[in-house]
Parts: sequence; C-alpha cells; structure tokens
Amino acid sequence: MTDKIRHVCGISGGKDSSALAVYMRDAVPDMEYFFCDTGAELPETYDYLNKLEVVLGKPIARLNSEKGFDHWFEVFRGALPSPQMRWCTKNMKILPMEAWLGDTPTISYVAIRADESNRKGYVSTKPNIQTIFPFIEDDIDHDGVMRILEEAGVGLPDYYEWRTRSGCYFCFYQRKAEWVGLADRHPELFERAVAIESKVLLGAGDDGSANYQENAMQERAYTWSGGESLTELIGRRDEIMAKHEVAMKRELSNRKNIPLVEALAGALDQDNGDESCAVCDL
Amino acid sequence: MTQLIDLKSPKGRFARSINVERDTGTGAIDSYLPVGRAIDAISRVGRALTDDQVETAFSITGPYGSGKSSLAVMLDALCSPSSSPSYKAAESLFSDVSPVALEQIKEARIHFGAHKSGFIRAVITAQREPIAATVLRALLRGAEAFGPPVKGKTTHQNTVAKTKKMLKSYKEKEGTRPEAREIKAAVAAFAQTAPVLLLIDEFGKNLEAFADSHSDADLYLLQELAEATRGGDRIPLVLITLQHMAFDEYAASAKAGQRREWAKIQGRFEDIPFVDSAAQTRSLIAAAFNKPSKELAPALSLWAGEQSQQLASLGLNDLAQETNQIANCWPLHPIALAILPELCERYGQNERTLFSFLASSEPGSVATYLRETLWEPKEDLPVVRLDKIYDYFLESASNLVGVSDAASRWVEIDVRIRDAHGLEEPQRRVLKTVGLLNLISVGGSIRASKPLLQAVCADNQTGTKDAAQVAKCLKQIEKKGLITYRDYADEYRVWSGSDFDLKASIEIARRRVSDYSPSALLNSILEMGPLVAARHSHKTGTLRSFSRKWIATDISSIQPLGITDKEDGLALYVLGAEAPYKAIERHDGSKPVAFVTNASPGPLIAAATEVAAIDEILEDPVLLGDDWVARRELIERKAEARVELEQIAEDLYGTTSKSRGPWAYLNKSQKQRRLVSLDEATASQAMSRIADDWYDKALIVRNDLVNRHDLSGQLSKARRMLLEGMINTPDEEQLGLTGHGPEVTLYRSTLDQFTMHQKSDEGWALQPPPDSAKKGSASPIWERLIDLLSSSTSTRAPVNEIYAQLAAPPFGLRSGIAPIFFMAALIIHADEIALYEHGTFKPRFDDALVERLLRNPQNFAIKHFASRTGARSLFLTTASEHLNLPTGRIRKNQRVGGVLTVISNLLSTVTTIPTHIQKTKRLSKETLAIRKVLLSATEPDELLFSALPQILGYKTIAARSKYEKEDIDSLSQSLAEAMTELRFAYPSLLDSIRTELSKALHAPLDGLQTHLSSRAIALGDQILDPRAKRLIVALRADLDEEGWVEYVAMNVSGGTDPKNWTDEDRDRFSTELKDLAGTFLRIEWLNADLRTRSDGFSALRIAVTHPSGEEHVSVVAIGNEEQQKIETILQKALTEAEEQGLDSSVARDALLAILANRSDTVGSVPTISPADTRSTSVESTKSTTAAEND
Repeated sequence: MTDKIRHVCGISGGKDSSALAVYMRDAVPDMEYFFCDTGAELPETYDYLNKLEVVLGKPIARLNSEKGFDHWFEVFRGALPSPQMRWCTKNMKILPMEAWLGDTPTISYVAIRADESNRKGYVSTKPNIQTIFPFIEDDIDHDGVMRILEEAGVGLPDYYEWRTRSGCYFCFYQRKAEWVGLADRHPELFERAVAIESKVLLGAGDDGSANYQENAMQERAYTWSGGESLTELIGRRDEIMAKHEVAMKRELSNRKNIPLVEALAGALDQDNGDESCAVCDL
Repeated sequence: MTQLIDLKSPKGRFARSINVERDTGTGAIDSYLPVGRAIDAISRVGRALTDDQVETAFSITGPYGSGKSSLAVMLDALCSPSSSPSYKAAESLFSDVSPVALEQIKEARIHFGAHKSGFIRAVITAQREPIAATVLRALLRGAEAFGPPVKGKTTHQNTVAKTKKMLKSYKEKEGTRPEAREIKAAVAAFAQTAPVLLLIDEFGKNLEAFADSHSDADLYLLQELAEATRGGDRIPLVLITLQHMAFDEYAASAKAGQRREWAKIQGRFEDIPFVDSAAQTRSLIAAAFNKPSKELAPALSLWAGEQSQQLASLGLNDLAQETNQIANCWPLHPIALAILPELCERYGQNERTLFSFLASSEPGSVATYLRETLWEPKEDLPVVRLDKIYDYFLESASNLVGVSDAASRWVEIDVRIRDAHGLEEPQRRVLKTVGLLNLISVGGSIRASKPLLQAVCADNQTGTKDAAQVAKCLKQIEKKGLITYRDYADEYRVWSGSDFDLKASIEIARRRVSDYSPSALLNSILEMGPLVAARHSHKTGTLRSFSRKWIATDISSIQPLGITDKEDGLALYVLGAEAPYKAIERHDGSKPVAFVTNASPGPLIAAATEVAAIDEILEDPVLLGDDWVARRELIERKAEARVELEQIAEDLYGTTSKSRGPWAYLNKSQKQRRLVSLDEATASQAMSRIADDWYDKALIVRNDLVNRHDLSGQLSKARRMLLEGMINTPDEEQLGLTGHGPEVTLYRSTLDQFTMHQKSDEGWALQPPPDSAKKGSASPIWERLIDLLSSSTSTRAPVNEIYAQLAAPPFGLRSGIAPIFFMAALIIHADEIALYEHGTFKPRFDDALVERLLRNPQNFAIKHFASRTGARSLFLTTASEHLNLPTGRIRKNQRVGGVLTVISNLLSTVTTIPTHIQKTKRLSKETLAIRKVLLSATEPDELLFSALPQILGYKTIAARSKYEKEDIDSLSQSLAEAMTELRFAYPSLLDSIRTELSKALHAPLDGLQTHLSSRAIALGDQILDPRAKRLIVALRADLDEEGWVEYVAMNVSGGTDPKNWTDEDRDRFSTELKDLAGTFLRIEWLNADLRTRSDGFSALRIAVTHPSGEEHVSVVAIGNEEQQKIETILQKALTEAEEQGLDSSVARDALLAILANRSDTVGSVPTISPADTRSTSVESTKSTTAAEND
C-alpha cells in the first residue's frame, strides 16, 4: 500500500487544469483529481466542476471543505489576505493539499502549457511529490487545450466571458475590469466583497453578519484592489470599462483571428499586469 | 622644614603593568605587594598541589589592572630553584606577609621532589593564537631555562627537540596543529625531570583566537591537560590561566555548542576570582606606604584620632573605627580613602590606576605631593584632599571617554568647572570636591552634604581655613549658580546655572495639585500592580490576584470587580480609619473586596502631592521651555520624591506598619453584610485567606500554562488538539493523543485528572466528573455548568456568558480551562443541547467549528431541548426507528437518539441529495413542503416538534404535554415516507434516463452501456456533426455505469449534468434525445450499408412522413448496374406519362408519392416517433458520408 505511487491532478477551476484532467483521464486510469475549495469560488466554477466530474467519470475530491475562507476570516478576526500575506493560498490550498497527499510517493500532474513553459506553477517542495508537465511534454498549447475541452463536451467555464482566471470571487489579483465584471454578473458576491473589505462577513449566520471592524487598523484601511476601495472602484466603472474596451480592440486588431478569450486575457493583462497566484491560477 | 617624603614614602610598587615573561626575577618581586586575594590564591594553589585527588588546574579571573600578572610573577618566583635570587626574595616577602601560604608552597615543592631544583616554569603571555602554540612556546621557554637535569638528561633533551619540532612545524605550516596527545606526551616527558608550572597570562587571547577560528581542536588539549593533573597517574603539572572574563564570555561569537564546551572545560579548572572588597582595597592602600618615620608618629596619631571623630559625626562609622588604617593611609584624607576604590573601578584601570596615583612620579600623584610638600612639626599635617584626586583622575577619565558613560559625565562636570569664570582658588577647590562627590554618588553618607564638605575641605588654607569658611565658599558658588542645594537629598550638585525658579514653581504646583482628591492623586501617581494571593495560588494551582486602588473613607460607591475583569478581587487602601464597606454595590458575580485602613494618611498625601507637583511642571511644555538643566534637576527630584512616596506608602500600609488597621474583607453572604477582619500580617497572606473563602469551589488544576486567562500560542494549539480529540476520537485511549507534547500534558492535567475520560465495558468515553466533596474537585463546576446549560430551554445562552458565570466566585474558573469543560458537556449532552454560531444551528462538530469556538466564543450560543422525557422523547424514538437510525449511547461525534440525531439525519438527507432534487417541483406535495422547511429551518426543536408535524397534518408536540401514541406512530411513518421519496428521487431519475435511452436507441435495458458503447465504437471517428459527435463520445466513455448514464445525459441535455438539472433541463433531455437518437440511427444505418458494399454506389436516404406524423426513414444504396436498369424503367414510365398528357414534373412527383405510400416500399425501416409533424411531404435527401468526402 505504501509503495503504491499516487497519481494526482489538481483542478483549479480554470481551463488548463481542467483540460489536463480530461487529457489524462484515459492515460492514467487511477488518477485522483482534487480541488481545494476555498468556499469562495465563483458559482460558475462550482458548476463547471460538476460538469467535469461527469466527464471524468469520477468524483473530484474537494479538499478543505471544512475550513474555507469564511472560517479563516473568523479565526483571523477579519485580518484579510493580501499579496504580502497570502494566507489564503497557504491555508486553503497548499496545506490542505499537502495534508491530503501525506507522505505517500506521489506524481503530481501540473497544467503548464507548451506555449507558456517559462511560467512557474506551484511545485510542491515536499520530497515525496514528483511533478510532471504533460502539456509541455506532449506539446499541447492553447489551441490544444481548447480542443480537448470542446471535444469532451465541457467547453470553458462560463466566467471566461468576463474574467480569465479561476479563484475566489474577491481575489486581490483581479483586474479592475474583472471587478466590474463581478459587480455586473454577481452583484451579491460583489456586495460581499465590499463588506469583507471593511471586515464584515455578511450573513455569517441567522443572526446576521460577523463584524470585526474593531480589530481593524485605524490608520490604514486595506483595499482589495490597489489604491481604492471597491466602492470607489465601482464609482469609476465607466472609466474602467472604456479603458477595457480600448484594450480589447487593440488586442483584437493586433492579432487577427484570435479567439475572444485570448483577446480578453490580453486586454486584462494591460489593465493590471499579469500578476497572479501560481497556485490558484492554473 | 622637612620634606614629607622623608617622613613617609610610598613603596613604589605596582607602578606599572607587569609582563610575566619580561618582569621575572628579583626586581619585579621586590616591587610586589602581596595582598589578601593574592595570598589567598597562592595558598589555594599550594594546598591543591599536595592533594592528589584535586586537579591542579586554576583559572584566575579578575579585571584589568587588578594585579593578576604580578601574582603570576610571584608564582613563578615561588616555583624557581631554591637557590635563585627570585625565590629568596619571594620567600622573604612571604615570610613577612603570610608564613602559612609560604609553608604550603614549600610543602608542595617537597611533595613533588622539587624543593631544590624547583619547577620547570613554563610561563608565557598568550597571543592571539591557538592554545597549542602558546603551550608549546611556554614549554620550550620553561625547559630551556631549566638547569640541565642530573638524571634523565637525554629524555629531557629529546623532549626539548621534539617540542621545538612541533612548534616549528606549526609555525611553518599554519593550520597543521600538533595533536593534543602529542603535546600532552611532551608535558608528561618534561614532568619526569621536574614538576611543570604551565602558566598562561592573558589567556583571553587564546580564547578570542578560538572564537574566531571556530575550531574545537583546542578544547581537547586544555581538557586533556586539566584532567592529567589529578588521579593516580597524574602528571606533576600545575596549570594556571589568567584572564579577565569567564571562558565562555570570550567565545561570544562562537557557536552555542562550542560555548557550552568552553564552559564545561572551565568547570575542570578551579576558578579563583581576583577581586577585592572596599576594606581590602583600603588595606592595600595602607600597605602601599612604607612605615612613617618616628617623628611623624605623634602628629599622625593625633590627626587620625581627630579624623576618626569627625567621621563618626558624619555617620561614617565603618571608616571611623579604623583609626590605624586612617593613620597608615596618610597623607590621604579618610574621605578620599572611602571613595578611591569606587573611583578606580569606574574611571581607571582598577589598582593600576590606584597605585599610579599613590606611587608614580607623575604630577599630581601622592608621591609627587609628598616630595613637593614641606612640613614643620608644629603645623597641622598636610593632607591630600578630594580636589587633588579630582585633578589626578581627570586625566585618567578623559582617556576613557567614549568607553564608559560615567567618564563622559566627568568630562561634562569638568567643562562646567573650567568654564566657571571669576572663581577664586578656594572656591574652585570646594567646587571640585562637590563635583567629585557627585560623580561617585554612591549614596548614603558619602555625598556632597554640607557637613561632609566642611570636614573634607577645611584645610587651614586661605579661604577654606575652617568649616565656616567652607560654608561661605559654598554659599558663594551657589550664588554664582554653579552648584544647587537639593534640600530633599541634603546634597550640593554641580550644575551650570538655570534661571528657572524651581522652588517657587513647585510651590505653586503643589497648591494646584492639592485641589485634587487625594485618592485620585494616589491612583494616578502611585499605581499599584495586582497583588498576588501567593499561598492560595500555590495551593490551588490558579494564580489569583487582586487589583489595588486607593480610596477615601467617604467614597459613595464601590463597584466590585465582576466576571469580565481578569483580577479576582479588589484590594482597597483606605485613606482613613474607616473601611467604607457599605458603599460596595454588589451584583451578580461580584468578586471579593478587601480593605486596609490607616487613620493618618497625611504624610502619604503630602508625598503624592510633591510627585504630582513636579510632574505638572515637567509636563508643562511652556513652563520649562528648553531649560534642560532645570528639567534634569526636576527629573532627579521626581525620582527621589517617588522613592520617598513608595517608602511612606510601605510605612503606612505595609506589612510592618504599626499605624494601619488589619486587612478585612466583605463576607460572602448577601444577607448580613459585615466585614471579616484578618490577622494575617502581609497583604498577600490576607488575599490568600480571602481567596480561600470566596473561591472555595474552585478547581485545582496542576497546569499553570492552561489555567490562566490568556494562553500562549503553543498552549492554544494543544487545547485545540484536545478538543478535536474530544469530538473525533473520544473512544480512544487518551483521545488518541500520543507522545509527550503539551496536548498530552493538558489531557492528563484536565480530563484525566478529573476522571472525565474513562474506560468502561463499552470502551473509552467522556463522562461527567464523579461526585466528590473533595476540595478542588471538578464536580461543583460541572453541576453549575449543567445547570446553566439546562436553564436555557426557551432562549439561547451565549457561550461567553456561560464562561463568565463559571469565572465568577465561588468557582473562579479561568478562560483557558472553561472551553474544555464546555465541550465535554456539549458532547455528553449532545442529544439535547444545540450549538449556534452567529445564530445558525450547527448540527455537527468538526475541527473547524472547534477552532472558531475557541477563538471567538462571543459568536456562539446554546439552547437546551428538554427532550429526554414525555411525548418528545417518544416521538424521537419512534421517528428514529422509522428512519432506521440507531438508538443507544453516544458515539464519537454522532449524536444518537436525540433531537440532533433525527435532525442531522433529516438535514443530511436534504443537503446531500443532488441540486436537481433540491429544486425540482416534481415531488409529492408533502415532500416538497418538508424539503422546504428542512432547507430553511433555523431552530431544530421548532422544526422537529412543530413545523414537521404541522406539514404532515399533526399538532405541535409541546414540551411536557400529552400526545396520542397512534398519532406519533403515523406521524413518524409519514415523515419517513417523505424522506424516502427524497432519497430515491435521483436514482429514479437515472432509471428513467436509462429507459429513455433504451427506447430511443433501440437497445436492451439489460447491458445498456455495453450495448450502446460498442455501437458507438463501431461508428468510428468520421462523424463531423458536433452534437452527434458528443453523444457518440459520451456513449463510448469508459466510466462506471451510473457515471456513464450521467455523462450521456449531460451531453444530450446540452451540457448540464443531471445532478444539477432544472426541471426544464429534464424535459430538454427527452426532446433532444429523440432528435439525436434519430441522427444516431441514421448514421448507423448509413454506415452499416456502406460497409456491405464496396463497388461504386450512391446512397440515398428516404424519409416519408405521413399525415399522422408517423415517419419512415430508409437509406437506399444503389449500385451502378442497378441504377442503369432502374433509370431505364423510370424513363419508360415518365415517357409514358408524358404521352398520356401529364406534365413531366407533376408526373415525377406523383410517381414518388405513390411509391412512398406503398407500405411495402419502406416496410423494413424502423419506425421513429414524430420529431416534426408539420410536413406531409415526401422528403428525399441525398446523404453524403464521410467516406465519400475523403
């Protein structure tokens, strides 16, 4: 039992990792799929995972379902994650994954594509985990990924219409235009994100919200998006979206015949760089 | 006139620093002055040498300039051959000062057979080098200086050669160190000739070299040598190291492990500290002078007597008694004698500076003074006073500036004195004296008080002739603003001038401050930390403390501490004779209040006023401006005033106070309020008594890490692990906790200690603590906790409040422990207590919940169901049976047999059924209603006893009410049926999908997957239509049967999997399936036909739709030959029709329709139910296959 090597494939809810899961379905019959659930994913992601499970024909293990974002928000009494203090990734993704893997020798399949081989995904530092990049080995690029998803009947997660990355609805790596997208598509989640920004967890229970404003640092209010609160950001909605449209047009005209998804990604990158999380965004 | 130097002279010893290598021989010995500690060191060495059981390894540690090197020279001399001049000099010196020590050394020499030839004296000053190198140099030096031995000459010479070689090879190739055992062997070889004295001065340099190199090779040599100095096979070797600090302090930069090694090795050495007491230093000073000449004796004795009296009058009794010493130390003024040791230590290099001052020929030294001063026997004796010392040491101190704070202070004072203009010489002398005394400021009697200044400055010289003149001088310089008299300290201080009128300002501030109430003043100024009830705390394991306050006797209201306060009571210091206990406003959970009184608190209030007044000035930025002199003065005064205040507080209210009343406290009883007086002397004892009384039901916990309000991070984690064990593995020994971590200790000191986790026939389980009347047992707290829990049947009780109740007397439970009891109660009473977080009922305990409960108890509340009796209980049992739930004891986090078991089962059913079933409307009315109420309920008891019965048409099951058993039976039955419907809704859905697939695709239900997937595989990869392709891919998928059904259903319905279907998705599936199945079948037909024919052909699909909507489809493949024949026949028919006068196109259509209508034309084609009934036309499609396209 202990000698048996585990094969695992983490699914983030994004297209690449999903495509890899489909791609490996027949190649590695005893593959174990997992998804680290922050409890704060977009509804589109949850829907997509359900579809994927059907395609994969086996359940995707949901790790960390007990201690999602709301849990840690309470435990940290409203201290929010940030690029400097990324407790979200650590507590909700890496630690649950490593706990789930234990010390069994494991091969982890990571979805870095052939056309982005200079990118770094999260590679576990645990000695029992060996990492493999099948897309790079088999020279599967962006188009390849799209084809795999199309043929399996899952396509792209719906959020690709307005956002290019998986992850929490309030992810601080979101670009300004994506925040606007969240406000448009999921006003209730946007409202939650606004509240969390001020250390209030809406509807924590039947008695109402969990409020940790007392614990906030008075002198420096944290904001999800650089330089402004979400309320301020959404006040500039038109300005942000106008800029976004321009970027979209530029992307589309720079390169002919690219899928809209790619144009969106390119346009969003112009918004706020392509800073992202190596764990969540695969 | 006589020169003083002719009457008394210093011995001229110790005048400079000694080098043990350079300064050997009689010259250095002659100038040596063996004093207390040197004699002591030498006798200890001598004693050890004659005892085989003692290691003769010594480390002599003392500060710079304390005469260590001189001691080394002395030891060297005492170990030299008996005929040598240095030995003789040392012998004669010691026969005077310490014949005992000399005897011991002599005995040791005899013991080693070295009484004549002496030791091989390997004496060396270390450099920054490895110890091995130093030892080799020392050995060589010693061996070469040792006269050629009579016996064993060859061995000796060989060893010398070997040692040379080792040293040479070390020097040439740095880094190649001789091995420790080789060096040890060399030492042993030398020791065969004569005992070896291996003495390393400045040994600190070796240690520094070691610390730099981080090699530990050196350690072993030292250890080996030290060990070799004792035991049966000891080498006759004396190993002595001299250094300034302890070994390991040198190795500050070394690794911790190395430092430990060093310290360990120092343990092999006998440490001889080389420091003197003040009295010893005085003896040393006295001994530094030669005996005075006889003509001086009468004057000296007279002077010493006068001085002694004066000292006594100044309160310097120690010094006053040493009349001889005073005489011996002349010409130093006795006050000078008192301050010199301190002065040397702070501003000089200890004795080196001292002896330079006494004996060197530098200007300003005592020797110079003696040489330059003349005396007429009738005159008063000239004396070296403090101003001279000031001048001499100023030089020394300015060299040390930057090294010590004290030295810079000196320079600061000197700058003031030098900058003072228009001073006359006498004034300057007095000023310097004040300055010097300020610098020493050892406190006590030696301070710049007026009497002392008069005593030390009155020198019969112009301007300072007598006490009166000195007083006048003081007044003058005070007027110049050069010194300030600080009345509270009775001391003059040298400060540069300040215009600030301290006195007046303080007076004004005092008046202002006296408006405040004394108790408020004291509370703000003399804030007292909590008072610990030490004995009680020790006995009970709970640290209890009382917060302290000052109060007036006429206080109108006293609020005792309550459950939210951390301290366990209030200790009130009453400014008056009466304890105002009637003012105490007792409330629920009040903690004890204690009093101590004093009828005359006046002095305390005055002292507090003083501090507050100074504070006021200090805090007023306008008042002081940037007058830092005044500020500094005020800060010092404040410090003094504070000390005074604290002293008075202690005198009036402290343990030994005679004026205070006894400690007393308010009795526990609410009814007859009275004070209980205590005879305990100390406040802490009194608090212990009070705590014993008020907290008599407190738990005794022997784990002070958890038995407190705030836990460390580590303990918090341990407690979390303990609680996780309680919910997850209560059936395991020690809750499954293993090892020796803090969580195990915590388990043992709580659950185990209180017998709350025990093994029975059914295995390990949590249980209530057994009833016990024993003090400190857990049962009183448990009973209280259960009371609190059971009393909240109608409203929820916040967990915080429960903790607070337990924190109040008589339990005083700490918040570190409370959650452990709380969780135990929740688990043991799991069937009837509900836990809510932010008002939401939590049916299950898990690790996450525990973590949040521990972190934020304020977010949690509980409610009690009262469900162990009556109709409610019956309903629970019956419903459990119908729902197939186990009844019986509580297991793990399963909540069996109670409200929560049933609720959990119901809730888990609705939460685990697929989303589709959670949303579909296609269920029975009751089931829909039950599903709705289950998904929205917040109160488990209301849900179970009220909402569910009502949906099913029954009345509410009220607590403690009657209910028909039959009704309960049928109610339970209906509930179980509804739940079954919910549970089986999804499997039924899958079954219906299977049936539809089977029908649509003409496949048997049995082996549906195998059948359909092989058909899909047979179709190959040529299909282009995306929807058809998806279906085919899905049918082929190698999944387990249920997954396969779901996958196919998802692809047919348009991308949503059945678990998440809406009712519309469900319908869409059926519609789409018909459509797709048609396509599938057509493709299949086409393919099947194509496969049978290989020659040239064309394939045609014929679909005939009847007016009824029924459709017939057929694919016709026609070979070339056949086609030609049929074409000919058709042509004939058409031609004939034309001849008959029919339009050719009309004829063709008619022909087609009639053909189609003939049942045998398409009779063999399977029937497909109508997909589209709009058309009655006959449709013919030319179908192309993928094969044709290739």
